[in-house]
Amino acid sequence: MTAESQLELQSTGVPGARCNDCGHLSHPRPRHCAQCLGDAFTDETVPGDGVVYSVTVVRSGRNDRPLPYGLAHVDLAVGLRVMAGFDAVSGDVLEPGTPVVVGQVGLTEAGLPLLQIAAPGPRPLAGASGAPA
Amino acid sequence: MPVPVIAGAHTIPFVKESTHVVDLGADAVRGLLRSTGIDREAVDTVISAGVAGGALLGQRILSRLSMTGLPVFNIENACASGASAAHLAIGMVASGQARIVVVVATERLSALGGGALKLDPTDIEAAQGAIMPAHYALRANRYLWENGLKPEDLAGVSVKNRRNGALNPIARFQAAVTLEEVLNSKPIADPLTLLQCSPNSDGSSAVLICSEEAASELGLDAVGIKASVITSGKYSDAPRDLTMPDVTLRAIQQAYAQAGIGPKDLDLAEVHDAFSIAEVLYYEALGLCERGQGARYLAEGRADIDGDCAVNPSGGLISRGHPVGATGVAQLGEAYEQLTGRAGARQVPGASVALTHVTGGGIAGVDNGACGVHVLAV
Repeated sequence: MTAESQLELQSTGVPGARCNDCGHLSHPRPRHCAQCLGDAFTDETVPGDGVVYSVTVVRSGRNDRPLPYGLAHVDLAVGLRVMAGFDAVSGDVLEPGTPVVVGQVGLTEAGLPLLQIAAPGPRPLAGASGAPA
Repeated sequence: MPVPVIAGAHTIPFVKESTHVVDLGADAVRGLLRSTGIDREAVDTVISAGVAGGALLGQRILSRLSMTGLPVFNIENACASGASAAHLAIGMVASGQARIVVVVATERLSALGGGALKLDPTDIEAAQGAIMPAHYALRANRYLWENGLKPEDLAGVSVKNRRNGALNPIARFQAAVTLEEVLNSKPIADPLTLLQCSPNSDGSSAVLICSEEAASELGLDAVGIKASVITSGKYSDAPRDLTMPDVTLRAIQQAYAQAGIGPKDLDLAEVHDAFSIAEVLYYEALGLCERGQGARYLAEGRADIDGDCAVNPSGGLISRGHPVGATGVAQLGEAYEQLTGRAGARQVPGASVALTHVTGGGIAGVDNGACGVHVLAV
């Protein structure tokens, strides 16, 4: 991933939805709120800053995507746990505890957000490389 | 109030490929009838379990044996289907609703074409590329990181279970393997290699659950059922601990309370070693050792057939094979054989208390979809 595409991915955030009744934040947008069973939501994109909980590299088992590919559980600062992909071929080695930024790279056929880790390490501070905080 | 017992068990050999799911189930039920000597007409209820066998699997099986016209139930709870069916049978006997129940659990996974079982594409984690091996690999890497361990510390589960399976006539894999063979087998999802993953299999297992009185009338060896628990995973979209399996912990605690026992009372445990890491985590969830000490428990031989608590003396899912819906009943069958002294070369010496444990399914935000735990004793 180029530096530019990393920055672009870091800026996308993680798509979520906040329940209009109880305020619970979900990812992805649910049909019914898991907390209060409400069905009215406001879309909310949350920052993808988080910490890796665990990782793996899938090397066999699926024939609908190129192998190998990386998967990680990331605990976002906003209090959600998400699963995100990462480059398992040329990407950096990830370990639990690594700060990362997660962004959205597209949608699945079922309309679900596809998430990817932009790069290991926290989001650069504003001014350090011209990147936004 | 009737006291439910297990009074017979028959598991057919688990294989890579078979021809028809109905034949598998019919073979298991026929084998149970022959091994117990009971008449078809004595059975008043049948509960069938399976995931991918299609509608009315129980009735389709029974029609091959002319066991028709009686109440039949078909149960699905992913890999916990068989244990769930047994749980319901136990309740029916205890309530007096039934007296002699056959539970038959059947699966023909070869019909699905091989490879990782497909998860729901509308599941957010499956959408990112998660498959069951990946779910467990994530737990494995976290566990290795938390405890400063290496992949070989988990791979020993496969060595032990393949050694046990070589003593089990119905196990899919009948040969032991070395640690090097396990570590060098095909990588699936780091750190899990092929020989650390339970193989998709075809098979069927049947048990007879009846009242203690009926077992005595029929002249059958009875094994007491001290606990029967079915529960489901709890949903959370927040960070949570994946190395202390929540649904298993809750089910085990309930089962110990029902049976009035603790981990030190167990002579053997058949647990859900779908992947090597799973068994290590379950040593800790069962309380066989302290948190973080599961790999050491394994390395010290304490889970061996002649260890503190024989874990998976049958060879477990890794060696016996995993025809998903059938596994829970096969575990009960193994426990029955162990507690009645019928386990042959893999007999746990002096076995009198057994626990069976099975979990079912992967759903985003949930530890496992379902969990079934039984405690049997003589």
